[in-house]
Amino acid sequence: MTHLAALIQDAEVVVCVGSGGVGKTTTSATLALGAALQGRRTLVITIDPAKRLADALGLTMLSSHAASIHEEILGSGAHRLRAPLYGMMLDLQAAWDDLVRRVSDDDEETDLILQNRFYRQLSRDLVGAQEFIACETLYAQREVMKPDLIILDTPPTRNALDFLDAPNRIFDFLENDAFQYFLKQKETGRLGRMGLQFLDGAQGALNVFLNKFAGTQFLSELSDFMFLMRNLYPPLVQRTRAFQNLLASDKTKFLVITQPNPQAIQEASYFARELRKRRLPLAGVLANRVCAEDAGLLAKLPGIESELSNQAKVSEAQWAKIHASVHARCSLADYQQQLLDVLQKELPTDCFSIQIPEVQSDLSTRTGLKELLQLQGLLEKNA
Amino acid sequence: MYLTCPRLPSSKVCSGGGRSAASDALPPIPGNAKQVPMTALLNRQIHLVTGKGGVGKSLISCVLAQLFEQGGHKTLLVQLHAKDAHSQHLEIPPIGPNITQVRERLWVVNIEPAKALTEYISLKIRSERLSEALVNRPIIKNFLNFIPSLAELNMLGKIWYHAEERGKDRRPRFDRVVVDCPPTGHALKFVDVARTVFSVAPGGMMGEETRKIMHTLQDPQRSCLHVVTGLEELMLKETVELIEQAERSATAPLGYLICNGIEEPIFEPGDVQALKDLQDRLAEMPSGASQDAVQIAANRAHKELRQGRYLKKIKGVRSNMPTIMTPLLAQARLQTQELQELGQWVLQQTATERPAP
Repeated sequence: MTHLAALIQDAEVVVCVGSGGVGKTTTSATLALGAALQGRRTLVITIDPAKRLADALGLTMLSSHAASIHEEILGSGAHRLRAPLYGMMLDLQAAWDDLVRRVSDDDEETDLILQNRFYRQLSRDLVGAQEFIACETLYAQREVMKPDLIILDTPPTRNALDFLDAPNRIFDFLENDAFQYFLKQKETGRLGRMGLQFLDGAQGALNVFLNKFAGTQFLSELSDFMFLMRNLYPPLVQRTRAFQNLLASDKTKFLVITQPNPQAIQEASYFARELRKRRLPLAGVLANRVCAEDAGLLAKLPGIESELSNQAKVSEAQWAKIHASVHARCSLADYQQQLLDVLQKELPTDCFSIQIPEVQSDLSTRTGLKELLQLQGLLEKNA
Repeated sequence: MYLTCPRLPSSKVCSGGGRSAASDALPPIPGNAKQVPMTALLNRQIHLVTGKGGVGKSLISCVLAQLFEQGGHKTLLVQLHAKDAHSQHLEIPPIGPNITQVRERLWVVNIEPAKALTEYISLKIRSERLSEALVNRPIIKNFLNFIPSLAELNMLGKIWYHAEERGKDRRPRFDRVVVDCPPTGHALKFVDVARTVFSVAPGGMMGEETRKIMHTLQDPQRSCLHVVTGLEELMLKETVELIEQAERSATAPLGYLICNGIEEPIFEPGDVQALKDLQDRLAEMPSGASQDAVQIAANRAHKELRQGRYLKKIKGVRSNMPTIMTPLLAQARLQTQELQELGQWVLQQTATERPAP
């Protein structure tokens, strides 16, 4: 059994991480398909706003609720999925709204929060908000749907740590002094409709500055928001601790996705190190779109030339083109192998590393998906 | 159909390697701005380079910056709180948060939000003592960290400030500012932050500054937003979405659509069939290596065909956006010489464009 097949058979949660553009979404989709082919009830969650997973799965639209994926997506017979497969594309706003409704017990306050402009902007734009809600949703869906396996496709992050640190950032945000400061101002009535009231001394100077800097309306809305959020804080912290524990448990496996180019390789080795440092379970590294050609072919070119021109009547002009393409491809293969060797040396010994060759057919088609599944060892060639 | 990009004499793969010979054939880069046929788009001051992660935004940003610099323009190349990728391309030491002159006409910076904020406040509050006292107070620090998107807004504000900056001779400090936008989430989120913040906080100093930034970015005389993409099915769909978003939000006027990492065409349309026939003939012979070689050639010919199709498709969808193609260079290091080569591709493909009235 291949490493990937074993991974999707044993784990309960697989988190795909890596830098942007390395094929995280496509890999998540095929792993999910592979698991469903094996007979595991699987849910795949993506956050990518660009609907890539839907494209990869041949769906026109994935909703923010889990949508069932057709059992004959890969075809009938041996290609029929043996267990239900669900796909889910996170609508950030809807997911945050759901969370607020779940943890809040006061309907009136819930409505006020949901309508607050700060809340609406924060839930979209606060750094880490995407990552946080992705983990939260994973945890919630595990409780509700109880699938055998959840595959989480993480959003493209500027830097690997953004994802791992998202929960802490939300804590920082809620435990921020400013948060507490505004709460106090609100409770003591110093912050009215006109913004922060003038006071004596240092406090006064501070308030003058804030009023001037951000405008009175802005400050008053901000304080409204923080006042509303105060009751949500304890349940949010509790849930966050719970999903952090899940991610660190032996039920979860992280899979680092990369591609053989210098930046992606650098990012992958950095990611692997950081996961280890945080004691998060790293299963392995998967490199997509690797040139599978043998660079040794370059040395055989003279022999190939004489064979092609003598026996296959290949013209000189035609040979020049074949030569050029082989030269380009093999040089690339050689270069990529050097990069991957560097990465290999940096990985811990208990961590697997897999190279997936480039798919020749279009990945948004059934043929393309099947080709990739075969390359990943998740689908029999002759099935 | 096949790619219609100009075929530079740099088709090193055809000549079996030897980049030096290829570069000899290229026209030398003039050291004077007036001799370079820059187009209207490239004549603008602010160049925002965006696109999905992994398409080569950093590389293209460096290519543009070096092109401007060599065209005689004082150029500022900006990274935003990023893992420094530019220093490797430009063969310079790691880039920090202070604007640093690295060549006669090239300055670089990796903007850091916290530092940009301190700079901004010191600038606004003329009294140095007061600003220091304010910035160093934890409560203020926290407050500023707390305002949504303030970090992004501040980075954008710093870019704007330097674009406006003038020297003693009253001329702009920088003729060109190239911004390598972060790939987080929506590629547009960063550029769009001024508009978002303005909609929430139209008052106060913050609102005022934000309005100015918005106007500069929307000015078709001064700014443009280049979109970098690869010629692949899934990526193109996202690129089209990205461009539509950019148009809807009117954040900045659209610039070039840059298709990066294309394979330089080796084959011609008839070759696909010819290679297929050849494969059939070889199938009867026990020649593994030859079959492998022809298979590689056939894959390449197919890929070129696909690329051409995608290009045609995206040109059809985005007919109002001029396109530039830049080739895939499989060198271990993409450095100044490669930037130069790519810059030539950009120049050649933009030379024919008419300047805007």
